Amino acid sequence: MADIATQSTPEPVVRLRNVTKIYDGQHALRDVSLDVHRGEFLTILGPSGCGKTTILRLMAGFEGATSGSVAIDGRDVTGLPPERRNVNTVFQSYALFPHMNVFDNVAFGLRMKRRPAAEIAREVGDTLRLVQLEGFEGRMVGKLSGGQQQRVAIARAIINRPLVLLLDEPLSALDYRLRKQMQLDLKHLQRKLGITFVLVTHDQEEAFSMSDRVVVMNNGHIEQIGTPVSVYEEPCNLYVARFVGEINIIDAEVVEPGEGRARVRAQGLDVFMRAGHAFKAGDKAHILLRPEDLRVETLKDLAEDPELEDAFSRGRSIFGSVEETIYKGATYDVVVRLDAGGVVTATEFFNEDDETVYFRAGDRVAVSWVEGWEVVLPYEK
Amino acid sequence: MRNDGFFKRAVIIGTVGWMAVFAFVPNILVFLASFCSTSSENFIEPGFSLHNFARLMDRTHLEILLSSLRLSGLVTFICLVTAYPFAAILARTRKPLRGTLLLLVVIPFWTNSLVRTYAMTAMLNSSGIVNNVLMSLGVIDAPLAMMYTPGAVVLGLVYTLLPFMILPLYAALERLDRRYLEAARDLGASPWRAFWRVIVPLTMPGIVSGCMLVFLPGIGMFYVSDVLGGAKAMLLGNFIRDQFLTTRDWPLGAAASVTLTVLMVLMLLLYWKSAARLGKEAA
Amino acid sequence: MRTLRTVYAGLVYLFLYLPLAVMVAYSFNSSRFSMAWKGVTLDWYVKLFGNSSLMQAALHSLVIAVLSATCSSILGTLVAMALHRWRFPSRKVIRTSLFVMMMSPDIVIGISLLVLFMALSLPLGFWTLLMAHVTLCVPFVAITVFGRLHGFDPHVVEAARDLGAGEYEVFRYVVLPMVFPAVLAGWFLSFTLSVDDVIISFFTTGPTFEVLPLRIYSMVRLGLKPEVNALCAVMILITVVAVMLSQRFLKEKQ
Repeated sequence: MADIATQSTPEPVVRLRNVTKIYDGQHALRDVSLDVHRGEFLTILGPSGCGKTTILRLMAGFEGATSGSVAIDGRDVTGLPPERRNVNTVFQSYALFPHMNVFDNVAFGLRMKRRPAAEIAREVGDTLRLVQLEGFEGRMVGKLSGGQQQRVAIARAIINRPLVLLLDEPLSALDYRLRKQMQLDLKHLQRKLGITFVLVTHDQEEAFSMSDRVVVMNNGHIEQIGTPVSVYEEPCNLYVARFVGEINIIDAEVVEPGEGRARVRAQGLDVFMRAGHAFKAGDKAHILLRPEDLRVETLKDLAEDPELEDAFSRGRSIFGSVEETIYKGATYDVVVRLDAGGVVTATEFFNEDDETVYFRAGDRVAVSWVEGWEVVLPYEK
Repeated sequence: MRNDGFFKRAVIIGTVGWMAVFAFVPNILVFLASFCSTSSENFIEPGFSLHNFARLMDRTHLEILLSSLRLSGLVTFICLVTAYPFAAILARTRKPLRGTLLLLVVIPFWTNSLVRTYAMTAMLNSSGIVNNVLMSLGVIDAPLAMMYTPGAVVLGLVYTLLPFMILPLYAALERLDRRYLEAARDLGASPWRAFWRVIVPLTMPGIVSGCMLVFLPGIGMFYVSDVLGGAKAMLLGNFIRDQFLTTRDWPLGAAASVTLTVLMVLMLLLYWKSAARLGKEAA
Repeated sequence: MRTLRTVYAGLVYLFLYLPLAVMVAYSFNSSRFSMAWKGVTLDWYVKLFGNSSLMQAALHSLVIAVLSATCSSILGTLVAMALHRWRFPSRKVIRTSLFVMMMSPDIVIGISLLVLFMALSLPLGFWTLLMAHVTLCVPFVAITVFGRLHGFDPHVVEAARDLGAGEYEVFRYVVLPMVFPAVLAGWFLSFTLSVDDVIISFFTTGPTFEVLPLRIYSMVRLGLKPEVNALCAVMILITVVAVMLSQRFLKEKQ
């Protein structure tokens, strides 16, 4: 993974090299290397306990690495305390100073730098305008709503013009609608300020909608780094594929490896598929398919409609029976038990003129997808 | 920022140093003194023997120790059974009124206990209120001699220490989630069984700390025994004081004090155990 | 059931307050020798305030109480902050010891300090008494302040450091203002502890520096006296005022 993590680009704003962090004998991070590019919106995505917050705390300086180094803006900051690093943090709990009003909270960083009062007043005013909190200067922070507190926390951090803004699950305490709004606001703010944002979240949707790049973490190490599209469409292993969205996994066997593709046998199919990995003949493999990439038709309809059958057989199709259908609102899932064993789920849209679920349990169906939409990965236990 | 490390180091060294000088060293000195002997030139002659502890176990001393423990145990028991229902009533009173009622417990809690002990003498005196009332009611003909009896000492200690039992019990009962009780009743426990099987275990840390706050001073508060008990030394506290200030047998006094400390440690262990059982962080 | 509860609570309050009320009432009784009521007088109060050695002892008590409350508030707050903010060797031992000291019977503290002062050959008087009272009070302040620190979001301190505050600034601008109500409550607590203490003062002060509770102790041992009644009434008044004030400060935090 290390080679993916350290693509060489001109001087990253934050560079972690072979960082390991051990808490009470447990590895929170194992040999993590990561570059954060200047001006990007990077999201670290993973389940709780995967080490994503630890990375943020190492960048901020709240923790020291057990081994490895952290550099900010080309300077090694390993061992430098947080007050001497040019990065700022927005905490999950906001951590606003409860005994201060909004103005004093936002002004805190500038006061620590002993800036003149007039300058502080002007800067705080400007920053509060930026987060749409003008006129709230005198309010005590305890009297604000969650969304307003969140914006004070952001204002308090960005007023210091940090090189990097670190956000630790900043939206998790907000309700769904507010969270959606804040996702957009954060994205706009980042473009406007041009500051590098590093955000930590366990919410895949949040990560995809805001970020330029996503880092998927698991168990203290990085699984994959890439744009949201590449991570979703080209997961590099089963863990990433499962963590970002729904996935169907079909067991297969490589019959004949080739250049960028491989002849694969599975579910009665024996065809060439796109494959990024170097396989040997006889290797076991997984075929990964997103539910929304699958099409399902009943055998009866196919028999009655030659045009449809033609379109279908140009793709890859496998056979089975409908086990159940699950209503999802805008879409519905069709769960198909395959004849050769295993289950796949396909997401179907409702027909414009028909608001009923088309499939019935027990229907004989063919499942198909467009060639090249599948991902073939080496077999994992 | 440049004095950053200095501030931190100064505070830590100050904390550790202060604790060492005023907490650890004095107690270690007392502990060591309890193994020494005494002579006419020095309060304390260096040496090592269990002599003083052996002397504590001889008949007269043992009697003082045991009667002090009995007395304090009785005081603790009376305080506990009086305070528990009272604290429960307090915890169930509505908000604005409860604040006032609580304040009325806090005031005696903070009032000088010597003053309160003295106030008790005005009640128990031969010409005091209790005798006057009883005589005017015709219950008794001549004043009862209540002062300078073990009973007066018990009453005085209960009077001074009752708030120290009420407050921890109140704190424990107030925190108690009523839903536990409702759940117990819902599962078929009678009120009596719900009390013993649910409420008592859940308030155990409060009970133990209340007992500790009553039992230990009940052994040590020598002035209560002086004022209400007269010349007879009834508490271990009187005995310790006399060893240090009258008899000048410091090692024997130190041994008695170590005994009291050991008692405290045992009670603390009980407290921590009961608190740990509820999964709370002790101390 | 309800009346039973009210009656029971009423009896407990009666038990707690009747002796105090009787004593305060008798401090206005003009009879010198008997408990019989002979009419209202303020003589005993006049006599009390005219007694210069008694007033001297009262002044001593006040000075010691203010000084020891102030010293132990500062020390206790720093101790609480050290325990809360930093990990250092012996941290756990110190936390436990503070709790043990708070629970220790006064007589154990008193004689251990007496032995310490003797070992250092310090003459018993003002300084030894001050040190003893500070020792008595620090654990109470430290535990009160620690409890309040414990209730705070630990990220608040990290946020301050993140925004450029060093250890001293964190203490001065974040920790101290947040815990200030607890520090103030601790001050009043220490003040009351110091004014009320009999046993520790008994062992750790000398004839050069007499304090009020010890003076009362020697007077009380000689039996009932109307001046003592008046003195005790004054002490009760001081306690009531101090308790009310500290409750006010504790309430303000909410």
